[in-house]
Amino acid sequence: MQKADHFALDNFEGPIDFLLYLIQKDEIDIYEIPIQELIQQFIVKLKEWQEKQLDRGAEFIGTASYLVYLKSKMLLPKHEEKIDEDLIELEEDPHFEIIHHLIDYCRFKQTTKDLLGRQELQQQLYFRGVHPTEWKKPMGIDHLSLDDLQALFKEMMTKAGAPIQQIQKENFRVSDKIRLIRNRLRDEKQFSFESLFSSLQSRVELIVIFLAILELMKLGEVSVGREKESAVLLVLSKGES
Amino acid sequence: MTNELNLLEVESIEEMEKDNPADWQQIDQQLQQHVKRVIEAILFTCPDPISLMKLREIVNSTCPLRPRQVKNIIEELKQEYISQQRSFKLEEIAEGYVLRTHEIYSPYIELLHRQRRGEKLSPAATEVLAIIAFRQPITRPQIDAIRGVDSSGTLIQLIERQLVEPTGKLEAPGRPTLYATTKEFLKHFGLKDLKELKPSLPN
Repeated sequence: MQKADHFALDNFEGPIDFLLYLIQKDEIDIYEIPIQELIQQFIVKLKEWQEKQLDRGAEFIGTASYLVYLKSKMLLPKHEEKIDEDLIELEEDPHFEIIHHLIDYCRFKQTTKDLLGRQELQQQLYFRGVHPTEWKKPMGIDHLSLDDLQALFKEMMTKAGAPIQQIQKENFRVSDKIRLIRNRLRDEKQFSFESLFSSLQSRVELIVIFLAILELMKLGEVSVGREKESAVLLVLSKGES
Repeated sequence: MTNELNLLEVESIEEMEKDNPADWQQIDQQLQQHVKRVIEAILFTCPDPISLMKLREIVNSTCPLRPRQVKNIIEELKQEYISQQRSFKLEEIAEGYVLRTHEIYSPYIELLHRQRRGEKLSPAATEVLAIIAFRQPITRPQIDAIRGVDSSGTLIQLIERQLVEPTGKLEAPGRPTLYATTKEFLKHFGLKDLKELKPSLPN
């Protein structure tokens, strides 16, 4: 069932293709498309397909709504301003657009058919300088040597042997880092700004440390200053200085 | 003295008139044969179609000929292969000349070259190609509008296979890329040029 449906979908290149099929099936004159009937058939088919594959319906809905638009345009009374004869003639028939589109598509469809036929013939003619390709080995255990099997087995074993390890997500909290800096300042009084950020730390951790420094500065506990001679940024305890 | 000279001259002209027509024809034929073989040798080395201009350029290095003359010689070579029932033929493809095997022998060649089957284009890809071939240069949204389906995947596939190439940008909002068919396209379908494709389009 699923297969048949899938096949039906693949038979059409899209909604325009399907529209063409409907017209051909009912042998409707392309210049007298009964839009309402087409819309009904369209919706039936669409529902059928959407039960299986929702995502492929979008283009069909697009075309169906376009048909509805054309139909409604036809039903609406025409604007009675007859100022410019040419202008009115231009927008006269909403059928025109879709017919034009369909005829256009029809032509390309024919060319596609011609090209595919051509391709079939052309495949039998070989250009010079084509390198021969080796026959693919038939699949099956016959073509596998003992070494191949051993290699495959080894590969499998290494895969099977690798233990599964979980990586735990690390959580960094600004409050933790504040405590850390406070403790450090209690012992050292001052230290270089850089020493806070060792390269081993993750990006998130670096950001959290930076935020902690900013927080401490806001609280007035810490100041960051530059040493006069070495120009190294220092973290100082504010209470001390 | 003068009489004698005149006589000599007359004699020599007579001689020339006697011998030359045949002589010239002979040289001409010899030369023609030579040029024919030169072209054959060049075609033998080329897996891709080679243009008439290029062939003439090569031939002209020894013997200046008009394009029409070169074309005639190529035509003669082509007929030669046909009359001799050769296993290959000289064809005009993708605005050039190329040697290809006769289709009669494809079942045998197929036993050696298998990759051909994989080269076939899908109906969807061919449809996009057909649209591009007639409406080039064309943008992707324009192709989508004609087909009513998204063609981006197919288009990428065609570009990868060098059947289609971007040729510029449309001067419109977003500057969408314009696409056109390549010589590879003509080669794939064994077309001489795009004009050969046109008659299949009913108007």
